[in-house]
Amino acid sequence: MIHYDHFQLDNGLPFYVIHDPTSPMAAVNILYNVGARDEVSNKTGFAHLFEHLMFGGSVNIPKYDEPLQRAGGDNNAFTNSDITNYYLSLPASQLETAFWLESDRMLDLAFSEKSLDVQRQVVTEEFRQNYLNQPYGDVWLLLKPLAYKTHPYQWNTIGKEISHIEQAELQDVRDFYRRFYNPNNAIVVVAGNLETQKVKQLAKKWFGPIPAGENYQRMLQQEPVQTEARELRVTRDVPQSAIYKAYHISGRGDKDFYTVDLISDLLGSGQSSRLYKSLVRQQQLFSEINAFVTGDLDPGLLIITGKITPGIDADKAHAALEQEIVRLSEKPPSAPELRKVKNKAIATNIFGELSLLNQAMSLAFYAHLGTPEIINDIPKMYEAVKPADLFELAKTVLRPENCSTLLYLSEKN
Amino acid sequence: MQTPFLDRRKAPSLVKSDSLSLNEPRKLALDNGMPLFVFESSIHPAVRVDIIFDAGSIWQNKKLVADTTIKMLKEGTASFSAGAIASKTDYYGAFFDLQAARDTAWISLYSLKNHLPKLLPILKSMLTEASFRNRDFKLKNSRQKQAFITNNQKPKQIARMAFNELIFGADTAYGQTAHEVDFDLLNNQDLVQFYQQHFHPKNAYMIISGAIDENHIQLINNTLGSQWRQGIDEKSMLPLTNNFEPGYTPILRKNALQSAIMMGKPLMSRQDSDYIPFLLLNTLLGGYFGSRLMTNIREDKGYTYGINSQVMPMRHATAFTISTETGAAVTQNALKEINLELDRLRSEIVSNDELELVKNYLNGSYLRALDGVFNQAERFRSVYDSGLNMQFYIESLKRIQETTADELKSLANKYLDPETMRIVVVGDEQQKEEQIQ
Repeated sequence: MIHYDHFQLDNGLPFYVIHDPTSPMAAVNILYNVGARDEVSNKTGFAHLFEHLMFGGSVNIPKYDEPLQRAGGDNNAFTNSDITNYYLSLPASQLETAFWLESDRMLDLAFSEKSLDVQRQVVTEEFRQNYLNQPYGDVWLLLKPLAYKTHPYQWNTIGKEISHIEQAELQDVRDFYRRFYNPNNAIVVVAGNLETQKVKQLAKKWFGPIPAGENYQRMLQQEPVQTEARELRVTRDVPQSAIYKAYHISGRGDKDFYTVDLISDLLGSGQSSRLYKSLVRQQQLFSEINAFVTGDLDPGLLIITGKITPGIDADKAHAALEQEIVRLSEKPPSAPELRKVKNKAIATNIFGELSLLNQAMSLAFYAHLGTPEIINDIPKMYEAVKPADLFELAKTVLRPENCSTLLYLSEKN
Repeated sequence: MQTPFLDRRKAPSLVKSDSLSLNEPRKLALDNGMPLFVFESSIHPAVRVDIIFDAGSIWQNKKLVADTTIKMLKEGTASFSAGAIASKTDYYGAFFDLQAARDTAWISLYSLKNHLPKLLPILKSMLTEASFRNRDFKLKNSRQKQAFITNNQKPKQIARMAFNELIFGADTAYGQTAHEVDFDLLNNQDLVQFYQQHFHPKNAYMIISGAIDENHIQLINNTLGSQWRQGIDEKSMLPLTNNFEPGYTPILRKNALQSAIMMGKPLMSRQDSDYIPFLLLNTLLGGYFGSRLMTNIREDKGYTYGINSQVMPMRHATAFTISTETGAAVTQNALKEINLELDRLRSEIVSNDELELVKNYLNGSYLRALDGVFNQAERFRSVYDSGLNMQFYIESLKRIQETTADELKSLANKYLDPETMRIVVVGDEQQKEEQIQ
């Protein structure tokens, strides 16, 4: 059970405080309600580039990292399609340093051409390192635009192409900041051996004076229902052919989310999953297989990935995979099988929240969903799923016409 | 109410840093003599059990044996098939992690407290009666081989393997590196023999961390405390001979957009009096985000997404490594800047300001790395192997705080001359022209 308090500043910035008397450290997580889905289609990769720029100095503090490190702190950040999330940990006694630093970069940034030039280059190298200079690195660059035709989820957080990042200008950066980096568009979670009153006092001192910005109204074009199966074949210099299948599912806040998460676990999470047992262990058509859900806020994807055993025909492997998937739409799972995936999901949730930082991150995310209290209710959500619910949903989701398939073929075969 | 003026240019004053307080684990022994260390905490309903064997790759007489042996423990035993192990483990929401490193190999079980009793029989069976059936072995080995081949397409991995052979020597305990062909040379009898030789209570110790009570400790002793099987108590280590030579090794990887760079050398042992101050020097050079290498090569030049330097201590050897992936066209520039940073450490005195910053940063990192029983158990493992205990961390931190700028300069001169290092670059510098256009 995670205990937390909540208060909100007059400028609209909400705070959550997790009290943990056992740790000498404090964790601070700041979630900004902006992600790659908020970008326009000819300037993609911007939310992520911007995350880099947030470390390039703010209005009163020339360098973000240095004072934090001097206080014994460490930090990082990530951007996904939905949010940009900054987090740090430092000795609890130095909490005020964190508030000073974070409030200044929420107040105003000190953009420089130099910082923009360098970070454009750094992000370009990140693009090359993770997406281009790696076997299977471009899979997501291919799969997302296959699955999404309208919604901005069609591009990846890193951007559609390097040129979008190279062309980013200082004015774009300023506009982006003004639009999204406001106290009324963020959530702060603080965790550690801290008194809420003390946190509140520091919050008012440092974040209180920051003026609210205009409320951001998100108006995204939603993805139309997919009506026929999609397939893309590419050939690459990789040792093994691979298959990637993406099925449309509900968004993270939908009540079906927990059910579809269990569907993905039944299919392909771990060595006792259906796909692993049948296709890896018994038939040996694949050497690896996995299934998972993306957990996006707007309707997301259930993804199945498999690496095909060398020498096996990709279409044959694909047919066997589809045959195993369809079984779940033909018959509800047995009670023990459902029990197994529930137990596993519940335990994974507990293991995932052992550290203060992870607790802070999760609470910020659930607060962003509008339901902070579910941080303590995740086991109940999984427990509530009935075999019949899972069966009905599997029939809707696991249809070929709801699926985009990427066949990533090895030149060697 | 008048709002007091807030000077945002001025950092809040730092509170005098918290000193590190650490307890040694409770030390027990199972009836068969295996040492057991307990880090207890009931904050979370989770428990972790680690059993660590002197069964890393330095003890193998054929490549891949150590790694494959430990990984095969999940692939079937006399009492449970691979499928049964997987489904029972998943049913109780638990995880087994099986790893081999150079010196040791270990099995870690993560479980919710209330399910631990159900998992102990599986654990016992894996430790005492793994079956290494040929069919299971073939399947596992071919999957491992595929993963290896894929991984080996990554420039960074190619660099890592070549670097390792070059600094420690290809057929030595720490330099041996597996290649694709080694998967074909392996057979399940190699594993059976390695298992019999190394997986017995006299060659192991156990750490339990998390929500553990006396009943569970009793139960663990009842399950795992008897004699396991007739063990062969003999083992031999690969030779340490090492003729390290510095130099430059380019490896062509056609059309690579980036070059993977690894640079470094063998270093002093963990017990050496230079070791702890060198950790401070390493942090300053490339051990944190604000390090000299990051500041220059990423934050000023934008040549890379990341660059770091690290010290990897092992039982009989230590590796020092600088590693990065840079744009193909700027490979030589990046190398020049790395050398420049090494030379600066050798010729200039570190300022008080920077020294204090790094010391504070390390103080915070130690607190962070030792926060909570799961982290403590992890750290304990890495020092216990060198015959040390948790006190090592308290003393290290003290030694770090005492280190002076003059000491750092002389350490840099002793260890960080670029001429004494091996440099491996995997990439295609022909790309240069195209990228510039």
